[in-house]
Amino acid sequence: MWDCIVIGGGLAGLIAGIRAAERGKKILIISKGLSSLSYSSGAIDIGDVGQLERQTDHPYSLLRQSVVRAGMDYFQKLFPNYQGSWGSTEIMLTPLGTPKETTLVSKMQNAGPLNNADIIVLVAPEGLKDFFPDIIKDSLEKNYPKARIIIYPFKISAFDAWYTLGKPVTGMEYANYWNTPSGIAEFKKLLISIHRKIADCRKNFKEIKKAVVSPELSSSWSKPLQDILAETPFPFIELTAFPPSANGHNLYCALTKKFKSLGGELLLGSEVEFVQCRGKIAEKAIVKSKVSSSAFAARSFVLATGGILGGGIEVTPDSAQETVMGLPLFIPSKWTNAQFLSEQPYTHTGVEVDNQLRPLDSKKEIVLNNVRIAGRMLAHYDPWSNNCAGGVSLATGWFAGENI
Amino acid sequence: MTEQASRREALDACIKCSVCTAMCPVTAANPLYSGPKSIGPDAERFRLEGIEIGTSLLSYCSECRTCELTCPSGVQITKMIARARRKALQNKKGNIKTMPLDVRDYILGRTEYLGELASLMPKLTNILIGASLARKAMESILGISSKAPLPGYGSKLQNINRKINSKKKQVVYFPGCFTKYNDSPTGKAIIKVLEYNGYEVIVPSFNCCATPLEANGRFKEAEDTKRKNLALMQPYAQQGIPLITGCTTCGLALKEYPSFEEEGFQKTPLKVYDLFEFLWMLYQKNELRTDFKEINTSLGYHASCHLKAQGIGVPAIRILRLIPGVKVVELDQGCCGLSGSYGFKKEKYNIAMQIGQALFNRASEGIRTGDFENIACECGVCRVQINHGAKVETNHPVWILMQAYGFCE
Amino acid sequence: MTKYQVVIVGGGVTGAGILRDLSMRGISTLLLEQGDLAHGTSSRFHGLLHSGARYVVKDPESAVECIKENYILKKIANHCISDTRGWFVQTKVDPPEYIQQWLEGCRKTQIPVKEIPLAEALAKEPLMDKNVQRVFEVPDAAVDGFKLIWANVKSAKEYGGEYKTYHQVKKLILDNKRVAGVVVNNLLTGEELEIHCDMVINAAGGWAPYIAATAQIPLKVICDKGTLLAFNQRLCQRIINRLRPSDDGDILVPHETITILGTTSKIVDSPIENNPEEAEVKKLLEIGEDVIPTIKHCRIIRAFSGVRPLYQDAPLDSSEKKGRNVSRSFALIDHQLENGIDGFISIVGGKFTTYRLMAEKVSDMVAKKLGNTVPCRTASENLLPQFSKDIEKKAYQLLPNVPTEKMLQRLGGDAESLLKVIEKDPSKGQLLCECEMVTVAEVEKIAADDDTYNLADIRRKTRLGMGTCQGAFCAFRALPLLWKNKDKYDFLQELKTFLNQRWKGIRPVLWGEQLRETELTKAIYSSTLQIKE
Repeated sequence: MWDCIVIGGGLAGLIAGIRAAERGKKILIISKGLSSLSYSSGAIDIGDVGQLERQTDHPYSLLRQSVVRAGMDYFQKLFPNYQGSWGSTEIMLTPLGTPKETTLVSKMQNAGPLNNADIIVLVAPEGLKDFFPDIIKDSLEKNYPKARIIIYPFKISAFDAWYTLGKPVTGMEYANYWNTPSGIAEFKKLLISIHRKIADCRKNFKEIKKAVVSPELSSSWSKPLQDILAETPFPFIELTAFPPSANGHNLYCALTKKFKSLGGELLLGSEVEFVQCRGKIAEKAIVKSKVSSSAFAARSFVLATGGILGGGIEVTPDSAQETVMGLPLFIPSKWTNAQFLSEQPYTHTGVEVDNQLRPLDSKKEIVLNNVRIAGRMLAHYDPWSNNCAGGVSLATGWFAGENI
Repeated sequence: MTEQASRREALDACIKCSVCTAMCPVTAANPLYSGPKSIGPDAERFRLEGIEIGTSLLSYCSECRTCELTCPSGVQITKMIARARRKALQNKKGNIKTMPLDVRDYILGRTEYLGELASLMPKLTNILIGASLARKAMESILGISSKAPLPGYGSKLQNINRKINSKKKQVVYFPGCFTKYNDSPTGKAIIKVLEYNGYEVIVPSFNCCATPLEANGRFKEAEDTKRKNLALMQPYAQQGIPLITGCTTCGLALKEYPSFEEEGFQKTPLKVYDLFEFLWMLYQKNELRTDFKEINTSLGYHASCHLKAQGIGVPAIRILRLIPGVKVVELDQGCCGLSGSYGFKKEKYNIAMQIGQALFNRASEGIRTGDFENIACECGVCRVQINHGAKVETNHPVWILMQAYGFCE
Repeated sequence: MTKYQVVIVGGGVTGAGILRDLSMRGISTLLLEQGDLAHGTSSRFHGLLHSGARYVVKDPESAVECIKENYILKKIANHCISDTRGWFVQTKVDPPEYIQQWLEGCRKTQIPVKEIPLAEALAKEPLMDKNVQRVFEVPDAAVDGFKLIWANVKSAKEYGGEYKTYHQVKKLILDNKRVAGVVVNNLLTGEELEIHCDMVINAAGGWAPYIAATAQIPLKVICDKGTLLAFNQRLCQRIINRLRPSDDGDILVPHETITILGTTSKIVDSPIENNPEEAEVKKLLEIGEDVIPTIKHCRIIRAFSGVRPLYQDAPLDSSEKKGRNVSRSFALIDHQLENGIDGFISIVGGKFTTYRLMAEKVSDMVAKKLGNTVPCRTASENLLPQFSKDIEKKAYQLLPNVPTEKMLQRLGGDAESLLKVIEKDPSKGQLLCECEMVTVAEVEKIAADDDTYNLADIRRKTRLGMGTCQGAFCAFRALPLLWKNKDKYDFLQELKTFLNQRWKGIRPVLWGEQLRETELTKAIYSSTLQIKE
């Protein structure tokens, strides 16, 4: 019998699992597959907490600021190399080289140092997929008018076969390479030649402020690379990547590693078919695995199945369903707006909860007493327009984990 | 599960996120391979139009299932690829150039016959497959890499014929070809552990689970083999006697056997369990013998790809952690690369070694730094590969149990 | 101030067919289209090459025209046509009495029909309702509208024909009740120009009345909007029609990797009212369920609407009326006889399937007026020159099967230049659009073409963004190509316009897996890339 089964191994589910495991609970996380962490930049958007706390039924208004703060603090405790503080924003660079505001960003992705740079070297590995140095250079020139932007192309012999075939090297492949022994050695060499290149540019070399912008190396997650960068005399900033993202995926790996090191078990690649309940108590998660279904019993459950994108909510032409426990859903009456990039009402679809994150029905009564809802499954928020995707997952994940 | 979810295997669920391709160990090691998304759901829409993407591309998939396990949409990508492979091979026209490789695949697919042959003279066989001249010849004629870690043979694991007895607790044990021909001591250990827990073990004369046949394109023979095994299993299934596997690939294969109902096989649900899955079930019913001796050991545990694909978690870790003094660290480094006979092949050997490199590094580093003393893994092929790539000894986790029960040192 | 003998207004299939026919007869012709070729009705229908079986009861003349043209087009344009054949199925809700009428009609019009035994039919189409009663096979086929129009235009070019896209005809220039030319607005530059000609052919479909009105000619065209659905995969391997008196949602057509289900009917005020509505979508699904019971669970990648221009006039005993040749299917009006304006002809209505025949009739009339006696040869000359075996072999060596086959189908012999590019730089042989397997080289070439003006043009010509992800990934991957042609494209604006165009079609079908795709697309563009309206 597990103390808690967390259904859904994304940011919210993993944070819940880690916090509960830290508190000595026996936790099983069952996840259908990888989560949106593997597409994301790895940065955490908390959003304008004050404003969102006042928005009706927004998860922040249910849990209140202190919990959002606790979620954020917890994350920074787990990952001390994330920078950012309560109430302020940091800047990172999108895959097109444009600035994006966020709350918590790993040191390596924090574009703050670019403001002072006179020269920015844009590192351009050969054949990197979904990476457009010319466009990025334009964006950097526009946003950092003081700096001169230099594109620095290079090749890596480990990928010679890719270059010959003309096959693009994906961001993940490059990022993984930099973390191998030969990759680390190559990286050192690369930094030295960049340093020399900048030196060639100007006579009064020592006075100019330089910075390097690069596609993902996932250096935040590699001690050897961190050590090298600590000794590098200029800031080295990683762009965020077009999905899939090495930084996002490595955040996922770090979370699962932490969870397992605390004794948690992660069942990846299995889908919870349904949860058996008796009255208002959820009892067993039935997992379809090959021949027969396996039943996993637990005292409580956290539902963190990722909303529409994660598959926790399925929408048909006639209805919307919560797929695992059949919980009632809030469905907005207007579904879409005409301009694609504007706010879209359908994003508010989700499970309504009380301030303990327990699921409610339309009469505001608790449907299941030993279940908490976390992350994207919650109703009444739009992560894209509110810029609060990470914040909601951290706050609700932490709260759920704290109360198992 | 909703109606839509039950169509998950289908193509429509793919949202083109490319996570499968990012996680695929073969794609990372081999630029000629366009990846699971490409030959799976991307190509599938064109297959429906009657255009196949290319048989050589299909051959790169090692069927490790990583794509299926990581897909956020639940698309059964490996299944799609396997189906396409089957169709492509059925339409294939062999020629003089492909003949040696066809012969090689024919041989490698027949692990059972190889095993029967080799176990007649295991010592001689081992000398032969160890001889560098013979290996060079095998490479140039048949395309079996001279560096491939071909496993040595031993004495055959004997069958155990017993009558069904409803008054006794019985299980059927399916050893699989590797245990039967290459590692019979492990088979005996598994039988001993089951007996110690009060079960009479029956070992019928099963055939190969059929995975090597399928992996090497011999689909008709694979189906015939599955039918034969099913026929052998029927009487036990009807009595509700569980079937235990110690090899995770056999376990996955048996769990995925088609029912062949339309051919008159009875619809008796086959109760197939991985050894540790079964022991965990016993533990949950308080029926597992927990009179463990204290063993001070630390293990690096490698969860094989086909164990992960079974969707039962890592019950071996749970059981081993019950033993006082045992510390288990999950290696968590993905696929070992060998993938059955995939990594034996000349054109795939380097890819296989590259895939397993992270695992080898972790294993040897862990032993070097004292993080753990031994490596444990249920899959025979993984053990061979880790041994080969990391130069560290790897054992089936049942041996820790044997130690804990006092049956060996 | 250039002079042509003929100016055609409207670059749909009719206009393109006339351009070809006239050019082949040596008549100097210019076609003017306000958008991209085929951007009107010709790209918004189900892509069915009729056998005519659909009309055998109600309109046998039309049926006969269809079957004849069906055979001709299969001969001259077989690279644009997928000869899947078609079924007429009587579902459990269809009237069995209709069958006899229908079979009789097919016999009279000489449309070959073959009954398919039910067991065979169900085996061939596993998604079809098991309760289907009877199944008959006819020579229906699927036609790619874009390809066919481009093939006609290409052939016309070889004979000296010319065309300009994004050129909107503002009005006719009349010189004493005689057509002297047209005033045209270049929508890309804003420039206004005059083009002089002897004759103007109004093939502007739903916009035909506006053209005619500039010469004070009332031309009554009814705009009938029809909505269709595009499904993510081939749900059937042949066309499936309902065996019943023609109605909405009757037809399923497989096209390459997708399936189209259509259509509905609603009279609207103008040809630009082409927003698909959720109610229309739901109606189509209700009807579609009769043929494929699980259709509501099949992923729809978009809905789209086309406005069919129907000529509306007095009853059909119109042979007495001067200057009008009206069949139930189309109207060919000589405005000299009808309204006293010399040199102006309108052609309205008709089916895609019979475009060549319509074009022939128009061209015959025009040729006669111009004193040209060259006969029509459009039925005998093939539309696309075949590519050599060498090109084919090289292509299959350089690229995997699927992208090769698709590229050769689209480009024919033009593929040769692409192969040279790919040989020199293999990275150009990689896929830019992975859903539809379109290479970087092909998109680059089209992006640089003189008659490609925006991402939507690229989409129509290469199929980029027309697959499962509806551009979520390939729109981003096309950005550097757009950036390279900076003088032509504002890449960020192109991206936003493109996303909104795709959105128009996804909004009415926003559920299921396409909703998930949308969430991912939103995450990428709104969040990761921070693209704002």
